[in-house]
Amino acid sequence: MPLEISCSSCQNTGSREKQEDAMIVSSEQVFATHGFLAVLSDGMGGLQEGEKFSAIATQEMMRSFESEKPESDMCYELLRCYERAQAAALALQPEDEKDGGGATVTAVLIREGKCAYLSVGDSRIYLLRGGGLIQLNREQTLGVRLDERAAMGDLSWGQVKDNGKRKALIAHLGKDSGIEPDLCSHPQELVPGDRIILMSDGVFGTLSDAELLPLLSGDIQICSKSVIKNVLSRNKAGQDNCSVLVIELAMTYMEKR
Amino acid sequence: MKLDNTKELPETMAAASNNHNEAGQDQATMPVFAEDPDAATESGENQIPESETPPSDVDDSVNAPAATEPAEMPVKDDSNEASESDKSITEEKTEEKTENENPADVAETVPETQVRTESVTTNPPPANNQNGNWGIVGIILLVIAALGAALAVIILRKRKDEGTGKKQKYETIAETVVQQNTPGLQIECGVAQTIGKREQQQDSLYCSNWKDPKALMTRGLVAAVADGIGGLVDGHLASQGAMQAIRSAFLEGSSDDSPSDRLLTYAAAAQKSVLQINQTSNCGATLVSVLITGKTMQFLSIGDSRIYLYRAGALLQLNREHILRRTNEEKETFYGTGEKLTKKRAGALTSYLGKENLTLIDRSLQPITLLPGDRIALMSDGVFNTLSEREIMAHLRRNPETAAQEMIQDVDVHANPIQDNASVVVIGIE
Repeated sequence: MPLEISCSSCQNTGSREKQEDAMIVSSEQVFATHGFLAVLSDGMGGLQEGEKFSAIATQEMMRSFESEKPESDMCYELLRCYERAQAAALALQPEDEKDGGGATVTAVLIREGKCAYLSVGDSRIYLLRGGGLIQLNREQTLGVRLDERAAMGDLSWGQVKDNGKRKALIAHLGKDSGIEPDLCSHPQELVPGDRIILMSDGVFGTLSDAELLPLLSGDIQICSKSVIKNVLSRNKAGQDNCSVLVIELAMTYMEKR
Repeated sequence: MKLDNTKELPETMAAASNNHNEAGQDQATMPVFAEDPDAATESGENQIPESETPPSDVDDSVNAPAATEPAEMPVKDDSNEASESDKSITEEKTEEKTENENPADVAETVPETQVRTESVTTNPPPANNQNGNWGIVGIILLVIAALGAALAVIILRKRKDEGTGKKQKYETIAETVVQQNTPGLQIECGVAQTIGKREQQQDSLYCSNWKDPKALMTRGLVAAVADGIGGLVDGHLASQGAMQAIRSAFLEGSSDDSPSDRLLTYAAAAQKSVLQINQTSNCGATLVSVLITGKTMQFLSIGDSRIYLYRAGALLQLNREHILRRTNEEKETFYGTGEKLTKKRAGALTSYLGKENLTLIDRSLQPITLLPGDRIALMSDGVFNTLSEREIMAHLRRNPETAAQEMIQDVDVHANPIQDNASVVVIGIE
């Protein structure tokens, strides 16, 4: 059975010593019964290695997706997969959670012409539709919350804009933060030609949306490579690990339903 | 019967908004309480909340032109269509402006000369611009300006015989007109609402003036829908208070901050206003809002109303709903006992305006670049609980004004015996 979703991915360690980003897509065998799942995770080191957590995020979520029965509610299914990974990640943490590592999670589930998405931390999910990019997920960083507190009058704008920890994550895999994953309210209808893109902050921290748009619009097989090439060509000091995963809905897939 | 009501509705609303147009150069629509559209008291009621609005700058000076408006309208031979009457108002307001020292958010810097030319030419009807297409309006304005200027020049020559000075002025007019017709985007909006089968309209909506290119370029466009919370007695107060707060914050606040922070500030103003109402009452409201500046849009949502983006033949819900479904609380039930929450409980709001310690705010963090053909729809649950996404999508293919009106008509046609208040703002990008 031909795969009716095409995707491509590419990553690079940048100027870091090791690759802590991880990506995975579901196997062709489960497509007919389960649909398609893609996960991208950006690991963060503490005493523990970040790559352990990104590996857990991708593998545990995929295991749950491929081995368990699909839920009628795709959003629930993503949550279930995430919770399996979260349980495994928490079990890996040392007693003193402060020194543990963690990982961001972005996941997209596609089934029956619809997609559902989940995000924890500050990686991104984009939808490329009709020649325009739309960020689908919300980054869970301190700055976002601080701005909201300032608007509501709890803090001063000066205070929050100067805060040095604006980019700190308020939620990630491996931490029981009490903050819920960012999850679409309903599975969203897809149309032929739609592309969904997952990426770590090593990509969007270096390239703007305007720079990404033409790169992501190119041929599906080479577009992820050209994104990473372009990131590296900037020679940014301290370039973080960068990973990008592009999914395209082929015509045949859409016509079939 | 039902159909008739809805058909009339937009007009009633347009009437209400006309007053607004006079007042603040923007269209704010307050709920329509009576179902009978020609009840005179109704429009009176609609105006009440308006006159309470703080921006004292305009309201008084503006009411006078409002009264003269209808008298002049028939000359234009228009068919009562909202867009047309609105448009003629927009044209005429420029001339009132000089006499009345009008508000900040009108094109204040329009040279006096232009004003004069417009007043000369109020008679030619804006023939084919029913859809408020700026391109067409632009051409017409240019023609009008040229005709008017020519007339003015002739008159002045007769009087004073000094052609040269006037010629210069004529050129400046043309320049100004051209400049005004090159905003970042061409935007058109449509609004509509129905009371459904409820006794009271607890939804409110607001859409700032999209017909003034200068305002669009400086302040941008804000649109919002608030759904007063049904169970609470004074839901209509909450949604109206929220819309008025957003309107004032938009018109009076600084437009220097980032669009994202501006939307937060508007939401905070709405929250403050509802909390204030809550000192003597018990109410709440949802909020969906968008701010368009240049070619980009940001959005913000609190509660369970929706913001859709229609692009490339598909509908995308931009916001998250703040309901109990799929939250930790519900998950415990779901995974613990295998039982699902009752539908009603799962739909309970986890965040809304008027809630103490409002912390759940859903908003875009990156601006969305808008494209020609995009439609943005803000709506209360009375719309999407009755219409399917396919039905909503079919309506959004029309021009914004038709889309909004027919969507609400469609809601009434579905004749849901417990139809909730339904409101929609449709924004079209060209």
